[in-house]
Amino acid sequence: MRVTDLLTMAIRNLFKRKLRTFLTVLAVIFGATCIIVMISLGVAVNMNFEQQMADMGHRALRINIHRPWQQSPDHINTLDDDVVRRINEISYVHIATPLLNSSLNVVSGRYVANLQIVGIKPEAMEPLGMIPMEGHSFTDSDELQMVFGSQVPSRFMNPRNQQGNNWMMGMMGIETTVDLLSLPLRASYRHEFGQPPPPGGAPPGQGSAAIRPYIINGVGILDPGDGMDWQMMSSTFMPLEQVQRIEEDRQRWQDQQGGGPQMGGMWMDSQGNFGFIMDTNEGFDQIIVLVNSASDVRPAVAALEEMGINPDMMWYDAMIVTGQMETTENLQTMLLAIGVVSLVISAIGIMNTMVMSIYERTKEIGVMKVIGATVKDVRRLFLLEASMIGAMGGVLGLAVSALISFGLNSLEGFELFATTPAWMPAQTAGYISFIPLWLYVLGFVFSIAVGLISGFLPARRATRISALAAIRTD
Amino acid sequence: MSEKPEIVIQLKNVRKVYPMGDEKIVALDDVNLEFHKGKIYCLLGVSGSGKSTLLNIIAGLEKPTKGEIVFKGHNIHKMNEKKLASFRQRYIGFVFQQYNLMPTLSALENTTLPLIFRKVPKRVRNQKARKMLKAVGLGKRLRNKPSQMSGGQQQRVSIARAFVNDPQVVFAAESTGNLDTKTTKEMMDLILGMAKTHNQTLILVTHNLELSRYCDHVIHIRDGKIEKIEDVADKIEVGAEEETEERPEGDINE
Repeated sequence: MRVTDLLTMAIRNLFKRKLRTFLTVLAVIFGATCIIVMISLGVAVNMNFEQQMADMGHRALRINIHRPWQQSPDHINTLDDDVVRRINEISYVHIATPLLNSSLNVVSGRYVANLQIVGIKPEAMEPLGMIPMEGHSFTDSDELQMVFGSQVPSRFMNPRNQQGNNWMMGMMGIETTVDLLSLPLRASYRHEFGQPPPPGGAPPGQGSAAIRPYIINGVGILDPGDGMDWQMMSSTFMPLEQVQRIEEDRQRWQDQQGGGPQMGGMWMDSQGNFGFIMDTNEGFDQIIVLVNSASDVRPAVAALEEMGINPDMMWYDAMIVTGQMETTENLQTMLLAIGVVSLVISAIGIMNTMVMSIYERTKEIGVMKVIGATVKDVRRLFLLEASMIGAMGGVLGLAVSALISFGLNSLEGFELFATTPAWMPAQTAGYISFIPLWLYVLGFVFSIAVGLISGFLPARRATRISALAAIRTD
Repeated sequence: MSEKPEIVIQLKNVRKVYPMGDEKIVALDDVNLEFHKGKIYCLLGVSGSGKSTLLNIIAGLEKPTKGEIVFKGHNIHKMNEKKLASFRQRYIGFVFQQYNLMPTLSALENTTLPLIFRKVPKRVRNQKARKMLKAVGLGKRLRNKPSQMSGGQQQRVSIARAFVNDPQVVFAAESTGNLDTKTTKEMMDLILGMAKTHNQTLILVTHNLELSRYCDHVIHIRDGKIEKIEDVADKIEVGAEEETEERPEGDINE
């Protein structure tokens, strides 16, 4: 039999029993829709994930580990060189580098600013995406050096001018510039450094002449990149060893002032636990871990936890996105289960329909054989009918899926994944569900396959019907 | 008798046994027959005489337990399913008792069915089928579905279908049993006419003695054995009355 003839015959046979065909097709539609929508959710999440990861650039690959503010017997409490070394041994980790925080009052000519200082290993800057747009990175010189975040110059203000810092002046239309790179800067850890003396004169024992300020060279200003990395844009970076030295100086000075270890304040977590924040200078304030690729974030976090890093002390931008992924995975598992069950049921439905049709058409099949149909013709006819039910279900299932997908995507402000913490900028998911071309093809092929598989047994049964059945008179 | 036409089918020592539980039922026992080209045969016998089995075996629908069937040089008893199918496509036409048309196909499509299985292109087969349907008087009913036709019309489609592939042998199994006497006669005339025109061998299977009058040779079967072979051409001169006495009552409407 020619394929066109087979097709015509199969279509005629299916249309002979419209309702039954329709009901069987309906089951396939349901199963196919479940599975296609499930996959489309996964596709959308992966797409958003990749998009957001791409948007984040370097930050997507970053895991920040903070100094624990609470002693915990189960976790590492001090971030020291040994911890950094062990993290660097984790296979997902590209580089792990410590950061040390400090703050300095910095004076440049008439301007002064209290700057957040971050001590960093010079070799870690480039891998972390800290590229100077003006000047250059740290040199090997022993002189004190600073590289500024792009926002730092606007932090400076003229203390004799009460209107505010340069940023606020800029907002008011008053252009001020501070040249941080060409002139040496003076800096001190004392708060009052560079400020005009209070009306009553300098407080006793804290005369500004008492301590010599540091002389520092500003060497570069960092490129803000996509303008999303606030820590990088607003911090001032110095080589780690230099910050360590300054911190030692500060400690010595504080001890001279008669202050012991200080209570920094209180902490409270979301469960309502609270305690005092440790103010210890042991170890680093932060370790930045850079993994090799976006997919390494989660395994790297797992490895870090394994190592003993307190998970509460870890923060990574990819966290939000991976959280979404987990929620979607749960939803997907559910839809997959429904989809598989309904596809199995629809396969049984097709089988049942085909077997019924064989019972009804026993004589017809016999006649076909007597007239000259081969076993192959009969088998192909029944397989074709079964796979056409599958194909129709597939096409309609795809149409329904496309509608559902469109509906999900156009629900404005609908948060399917309410995992974004309220204090984070809202993550605008591009799509909730997305059906790429390959999914249309796959859905169609898969539905036909379901039809073919479930048509296999009935078709074999049909081929076994004796040609004699046609001649027998009942 | 001296110048007999060529032999189309030859049966040699054909035996067919059906296992029935522990017992064996012998449906055909040592049957030897010859069918000649262009002749009309009638397989006559009561129910269970083995005539249907004989027909099935000749048509290659069933395999004999023993013996040979040679159809124009082909050993049918040795063929597999696939070869049998193509053998039927080429050489055999069937007229069924209950028409057995495909309900989803039109008269034209039903007629083309044997050609469809033979992979004949649509244009060619439609042409042939149209000619056939015209020959059986259904030239204006090509597009009708079986459900839109009377019994007689359906039978005509069935006849057109049997002859469309220009077969060597046409089998007709109780082919007119469902129709009234007048229509039966029309159908018989139609089948005989077509077989004669194309010099085809026609084998009728019936338990209706009336129909045996149309035949050249009547093969009587009883208990799986050939009882006798009559030459009807001689009989008709003797008179039909004798024969009709033996006819069981109500056969036509059975």
